[in-house]
Amino acid sequence: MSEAALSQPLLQARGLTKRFQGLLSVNRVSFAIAENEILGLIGPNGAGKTTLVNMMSGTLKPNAGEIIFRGTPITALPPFRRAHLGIARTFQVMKPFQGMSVLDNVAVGALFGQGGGEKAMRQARESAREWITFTGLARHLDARAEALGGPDRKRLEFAKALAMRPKLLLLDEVMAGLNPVEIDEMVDLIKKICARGVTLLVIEHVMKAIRSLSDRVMVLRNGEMIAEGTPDDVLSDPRVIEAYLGARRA
Amino acid sequence: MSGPLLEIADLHAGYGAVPILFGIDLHINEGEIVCLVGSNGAGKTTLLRAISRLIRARGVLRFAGEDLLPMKPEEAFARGLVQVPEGRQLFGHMSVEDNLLMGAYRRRDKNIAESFARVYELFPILKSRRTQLAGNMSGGEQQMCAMARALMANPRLLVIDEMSLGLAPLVVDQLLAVLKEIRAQGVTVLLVEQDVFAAFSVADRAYIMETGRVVRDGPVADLAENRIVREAYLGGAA
Repeated sequence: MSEAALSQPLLQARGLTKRFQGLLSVNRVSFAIAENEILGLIGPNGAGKTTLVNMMSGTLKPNAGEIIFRGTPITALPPFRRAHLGIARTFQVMKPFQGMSVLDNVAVGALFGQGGGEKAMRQARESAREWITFTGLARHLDARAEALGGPDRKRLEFAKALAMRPKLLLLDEVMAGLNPVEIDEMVDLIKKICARGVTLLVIEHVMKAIRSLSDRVMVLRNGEMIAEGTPDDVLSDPRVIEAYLGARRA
Repeated sequence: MSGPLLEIADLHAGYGAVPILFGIDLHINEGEIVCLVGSNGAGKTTLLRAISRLIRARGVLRFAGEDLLPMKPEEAFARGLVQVPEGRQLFGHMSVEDNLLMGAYRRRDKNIAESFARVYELFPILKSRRTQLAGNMSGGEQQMCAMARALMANPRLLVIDEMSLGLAPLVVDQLLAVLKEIRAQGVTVLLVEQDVFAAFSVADRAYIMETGRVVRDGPVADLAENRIVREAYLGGAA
């Protein structure tokens, strides 16, 4: 773990455990995320990555362990309270509000953001416009959300989350379904977000994205953390190659 | 049979009044692995839907010499044109074994047991999970189950949409190895794939689509060397 993460983590998780009936999905996982770092989270399908994100965003309650965000224990808080504190996420299966414009989809994010969000729809729309421009969706402002194609839907997920003005943004597989060039564009967007002072946790199976984005990478397998460190160290770790990467990409 | 297994010429298709495909030319020879790449929205899935006869199309569309255009999806399916859909579309509340049986529901022959043996050999994990509900498996296992279900239909042409979507690198490699094995068993493969590196590692030839047209095609080795293709589809170094 980096020194920064030890001295003043933005988020700290200790002993997080989640069971679904008999199945142990996440088993005593501890980690910290430093302010303004990008932490990559990789691991085989079914390793517990999304479950971990669900516990951080508040949609799942852990069976054991605690989460501390900016010094405050948040383990018992519902998702909207965590959003007010500055935690936002995107979803693996994209979830735009159907039948609403791109502008209003993003405005909803602005209404529920850090510190309670904007108080009036007019301001929420103003703020939404900014993030729509930032994510490159300006020409789709008035389009209905469901009319957007794949990569633009991903950008909408970003805009909705960013309108919440998060301190910490959790990205669950935003590269899935994008081709290599679209992936490069998404990497650039994530770097731009980080440059604005947002800390990021990035779940991804696309290794070129993980390599070029992550300050640190952690690896889950069967609900347990099996490796953690710099991308170079982790992606050359024999356990990670055996469990996840395969020899061809090592 | 002389000529390609799948022959497409000047194929047009769309949704209602909205045209999506503008004169596609494409062929697949028996025993080939051909991949289809292109940006989101290029029309790849629409082309697959036209091939599988899920949407209307006009032009030339022939499978093993037969005209596919007047056929319904189940008629194309019965001739061995089988698709693995994007997102797997398994029957989540049915067991793995029952999902596989669904793949064989059109067959009247008595060799279903052999087919089970064949897919369990290709995907040993499915055998150990055969009584488990398909919906409870990991993404990689579900993709294996979807491919195995398609193989239970005894396809001549296996059409796979977005095989690697959301899958861990090691699983993608395992699936690519299975594709080579399937081809060695005599199945022809059309693969639509966003992971162009993965697709090029197993395919013989590729077609590149942009805005409803094929803009380039050829052996994957040639395309991978092409500067325009590299810039547009492969991006920066892996």
